[in-house]
Amino acid sequence: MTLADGVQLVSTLILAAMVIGAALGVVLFDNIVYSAFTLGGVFISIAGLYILMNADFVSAAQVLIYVGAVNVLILFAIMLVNKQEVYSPVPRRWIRKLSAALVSAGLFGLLTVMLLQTEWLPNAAQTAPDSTVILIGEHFFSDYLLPFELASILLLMALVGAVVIARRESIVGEDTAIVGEQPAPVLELPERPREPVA
Amino acid sequence: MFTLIGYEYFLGFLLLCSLVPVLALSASKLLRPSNRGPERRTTYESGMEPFGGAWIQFNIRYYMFALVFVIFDVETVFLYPWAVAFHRLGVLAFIEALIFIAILIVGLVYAWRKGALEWS
Amino acid sequence: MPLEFFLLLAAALFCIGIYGLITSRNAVRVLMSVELLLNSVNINLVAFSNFLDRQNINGQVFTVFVITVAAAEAAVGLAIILAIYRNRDTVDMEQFNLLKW
Repeated sequence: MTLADGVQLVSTLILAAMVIGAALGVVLFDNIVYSAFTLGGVFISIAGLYILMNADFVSAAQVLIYVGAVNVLILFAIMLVNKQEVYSPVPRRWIRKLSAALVSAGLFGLLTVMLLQTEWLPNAAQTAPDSTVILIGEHFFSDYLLPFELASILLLMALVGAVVIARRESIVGEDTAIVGEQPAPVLELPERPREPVA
Repeated sequence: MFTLIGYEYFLGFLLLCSLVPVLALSASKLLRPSNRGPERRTTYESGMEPFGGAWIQFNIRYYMFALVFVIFDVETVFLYPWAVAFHRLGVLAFIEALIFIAILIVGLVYAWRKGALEWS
Repeated sequence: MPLEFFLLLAAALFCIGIYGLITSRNAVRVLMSVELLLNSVNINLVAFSNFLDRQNINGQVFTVFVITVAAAEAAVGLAIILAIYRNRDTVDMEQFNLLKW
């Protein structure tokens, strides 16, 4: 094993552990803001794994879209709906959690057995392309042309739909003033009373 | 098998860099005097006094800007391979990319007319 | 690293996402769990593209489309959550029972 192989092995293991740990953090943290930041950790670790799987363009797209855009969107949404909400207790909620955990663990066991018994045929004889970016661009404009154009339609629908849903209050009012907005608090810097230095 | 060229150094740097925060924090934990005065409990030890709660509700306009940003971020990811492979693709791909951009410009115009891009 | 390692990792991530999807009470966290599910699918696609189809990387092209759909889903889903929050003043999933029979 050469040094490069060792580096790849160690970084793969570290990134995989980070993915699993941060994903558990997303699900298990009580504070939703911590969950959002660990979600960013999941995304970045997965981008590292993509580089290890020779997918440099997908890795860059992952960082650009997921970390740069989706995670920021989620954080903004959290800041918009955040109220320290005390959830009303649901009777026998632990039974639900336990059954959900059992279902998830069972699914994981099933998938593990399935994919360890399947005989995968890795095709190592194929040569890797010179540049994945150029190859992906050629795919976009040859055999994936219709999905490429449909993606723009999907993005258009998402933009229009999200703007309509999120701004519904401003249509009701006579002008574009946003209802329910607090008046800006007077900016002041309250000083803490200073204690005399002993 | 790892075939990308030039990324071995990147991975090496990644491993080295992941050690830096651990070493820095543990070294300062070892070296610093353990002094827990009231000043150490403040958020900014030598700066503005924080006031108000951290759990305030933000304005919906932030969400609007982030929304438009997400959509056009995805557009960038689609247009980048086209720009890199431009010399191989030809005129037809140029027209197809123009159609792609035109469809998204419709969305931009809609968001603009709805006032999603205006702050006030 | 063999192919099975990455598939196992994606399966684990998928199951964590399923657990979060079922048990979360905060609606935003449900959307985060959906993002975890989509990411595990992406890991699978990239792993298959790397190990089985290295010549013409169809899996990576597909991953870009999945990322696009995920971004659109997050934008619309979070807008829906904001609308629900405005109407009902809560993001608790247990309170969203309008469609429950």
